[in-house]
Amino acid sequence: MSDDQQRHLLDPKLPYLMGARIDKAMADDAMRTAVTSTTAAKDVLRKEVFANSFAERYPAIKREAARIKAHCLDNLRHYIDKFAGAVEGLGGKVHFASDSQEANRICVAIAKAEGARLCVKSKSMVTEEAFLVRDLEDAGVETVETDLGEFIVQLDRDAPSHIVTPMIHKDRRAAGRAMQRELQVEYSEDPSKLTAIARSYLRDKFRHADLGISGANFLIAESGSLVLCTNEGNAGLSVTSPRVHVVFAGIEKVIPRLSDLPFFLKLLARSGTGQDLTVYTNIISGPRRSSDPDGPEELHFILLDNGRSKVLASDQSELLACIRCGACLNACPVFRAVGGGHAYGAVYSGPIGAALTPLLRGLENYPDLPQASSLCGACHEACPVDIDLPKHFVSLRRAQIEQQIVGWRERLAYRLWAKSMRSALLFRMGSRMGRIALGLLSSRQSGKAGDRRWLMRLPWPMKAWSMDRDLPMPARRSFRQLWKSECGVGKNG
Amino acid sequence: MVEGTSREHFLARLGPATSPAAEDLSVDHELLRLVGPEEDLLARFMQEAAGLGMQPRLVQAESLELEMSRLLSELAPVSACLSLADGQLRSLVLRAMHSAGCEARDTTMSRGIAAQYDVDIGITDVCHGVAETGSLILNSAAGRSRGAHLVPPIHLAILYREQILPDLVDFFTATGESELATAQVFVTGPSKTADIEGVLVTGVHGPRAVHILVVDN
Amino acid sequence: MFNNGFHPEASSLARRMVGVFDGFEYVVTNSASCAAMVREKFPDLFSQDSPDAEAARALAAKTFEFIEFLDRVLALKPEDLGIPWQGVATYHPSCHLRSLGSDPCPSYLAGVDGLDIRPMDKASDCCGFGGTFALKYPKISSTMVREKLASIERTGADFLISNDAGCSLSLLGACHRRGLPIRTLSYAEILAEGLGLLAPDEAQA
Repeated sequence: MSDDQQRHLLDPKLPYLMGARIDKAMADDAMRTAVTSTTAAKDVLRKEVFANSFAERYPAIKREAARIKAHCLDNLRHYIDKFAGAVEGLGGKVHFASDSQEANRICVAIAKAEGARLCVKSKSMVTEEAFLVRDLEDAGVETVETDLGEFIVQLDRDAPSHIVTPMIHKDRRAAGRAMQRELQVEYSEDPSKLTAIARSYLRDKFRHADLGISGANFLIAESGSLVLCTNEGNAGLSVTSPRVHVVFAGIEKVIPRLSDLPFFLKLLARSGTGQDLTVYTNIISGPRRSSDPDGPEELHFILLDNGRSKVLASDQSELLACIRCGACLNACPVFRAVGGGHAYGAVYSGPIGAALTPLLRGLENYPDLPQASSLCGACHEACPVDIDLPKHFVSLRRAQIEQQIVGWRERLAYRLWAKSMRSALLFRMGSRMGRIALGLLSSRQSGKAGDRRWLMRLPWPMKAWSMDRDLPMPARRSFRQLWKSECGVGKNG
Repeated sequence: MVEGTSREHFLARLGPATSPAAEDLSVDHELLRLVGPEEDLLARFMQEAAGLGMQPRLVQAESLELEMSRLLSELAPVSACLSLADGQLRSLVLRAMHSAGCEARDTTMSRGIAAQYDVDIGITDVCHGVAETGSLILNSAAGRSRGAHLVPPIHLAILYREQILPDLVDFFTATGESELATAQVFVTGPSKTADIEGVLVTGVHGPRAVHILVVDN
Repeated sequence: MFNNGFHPEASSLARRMVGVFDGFEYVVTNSASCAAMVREKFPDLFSQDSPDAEAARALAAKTFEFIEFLDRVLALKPEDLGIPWQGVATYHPSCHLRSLGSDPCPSYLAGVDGLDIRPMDKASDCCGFGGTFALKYPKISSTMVREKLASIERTGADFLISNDAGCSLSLLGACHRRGLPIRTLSYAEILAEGLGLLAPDEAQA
């Protein structure tokens, strides 16, 4: 895969339509199976872990966490200001970036000022959002992803397809081939061996890197602290080994106090991977002090807006409460059916991505994302901070109609439908005509399910239904007729 | 240096300047509590730590040196780095290492993380243990490196029984007047990944084994 | 209509529906999605303190999904009903039950004499219907319904019980397409057949 293709996966030509990538996923059983089995297993594990630990307390904890997040968002200006002040008090530096290009420029300038040649980066969605790695490489800074999954994705010039488990769409053979080709090592399919190869390759990078970059799981306003949660330990190394460390973070990452952190620590790992806590939770407060034997001498925070302030000002600001645990992706049957994140054509995928991307990158640019949901609600149920994602899809659909992104035919059809449903006469006429039309299209089939008429092929707009389902002929007598004759009551005709 | 957006300009997009409701937030931490102080914290810690794949071993204070020497003989590291703030404990560990034939490098952490890439074991003290999760909490400080628990392939931690807190919540709600350490880390198991097909592999970037000597006074 | 974002149209229908059911003590529906729409969405279609909103809240308060009505209003105990009904069945919970709260159906099914319930794996996964979603994204929807059918087939059941008209229609149609001899029915039909109010299969004939 070329670099262009890699970028194209998460930053396609706009407006982006899902169709081609859905077709591709439909043709790739291996990818769909890989995504389905991993996400389904994580989803089951998540439910078990919450049932075993918090049991009936869980809904109250969710509400409390949502309340803390809502409070942060309501007072975001205050907390960002406070965070920046606290960081500066510790000797760190805070930069403010209105968009991703500005953020990347700041980061490249920091790298150049340091004369950095090699950068070790730990996993961060917001750097993916900004396509930071490409800008650093263009500036002559070799930038290595150090999370194992991200590393393999980078080696293979692929793009991550899940916000927590980035190589969910790839199997061990793809990992083995990428390492063989790019690192000139013997081919292996053994995850332990592949991990050992990556460890030794990346150790050398950690040891010699002069710049470290990470995202942030949380930022603590009162203390100016950075909180990083990983299982592999790569964040700990990238924030300790190099002389300069740069943190990329969206403004929504800030929470008021250290004492609010346990809510999110206890929810994040359980929701994301079914663990009680990630293996490493790092709390970094400022650059190295004179008494510390190690740690970065310079610590920079680049706080990114990139459309967030618009979301904050909208009635969909709740979406900024997301802690990027990935639970909604694991719970989502659509995410599985489309073979993971690439079908969403953006960095944030799954239900949270489908709601957030149109707001961050333009409703008109992603017409499918709010629509491609059965609104089953599995995402809302899975969300540890209680974000009602289906509600947001409906709000976005409404905005699509208001902005005429939905075609006039569909708008007209709904208007006519609403009109006919409001009138008893029109409704009766419509149902009767519909029944006659369906009768002409149906064929008689016998089977154990009863002898009845079935529709095997339907014309537009019902054509899509007949792709994988038949339609039973409506009952001969409607419910209204039965109600009238059997129960003898009625109102309004 | 490239200047980004000014702070004032950036903040102005986030709403009005003064938020009357700011900082008026009380939360119910007890909702989160999974382990109370009345529980057998030692037993719970041992159980959780072992469940995570760490190797906790209970030792009496008077036999700490002997037990450590035994453990080091089993693990047979050639070299070690020490991240221990207390001088007495450092002397004890050095004696144990000596009798196990293990060489100490950079015992006062003067060279920090750079010295740790080639050693076989990192030996550290800790600030707390957490019974709920089996976690170790380590702070950076003079004489304490942030790499010793992470860089060498084996981590050996010394935890005192009275350092064990019931629940994660207790760490965060303790009224700590003291200055926050530059780096704190909670270690909850050996380094691991399941990125390749969900198969669990330990020892990715951090240690593949974590031994804990839990000292009972 | 509401779910597709046509809120002015949806509120005009809601207003009419509120009027139609004015004067009735309870509104009972045999479809969880209908109950969820009336209960969860109707009140929000009107501005908070308007008379419409108040009427919508009143309708919401008296609207129940059928089993909910048995459970919460009539307070019938599943084991007291003791209705006879023979068969091997599996149960698909409607997604809309998530917003309605706890699902009393499994305990009512457990109270049916002669019914052998075989739980399916990934039971709470959506069947892929989702109203117009199935028409707009047929490939995604088909993949979802196929996953569901696989779960159903693995139980070896002859009957599929679902209390949502949308799920039932979709799953029945998908079973028929594949020639799976599985009959879909709701708990209300089991109850009616068990009590002798409805001849088996009458509803489908």
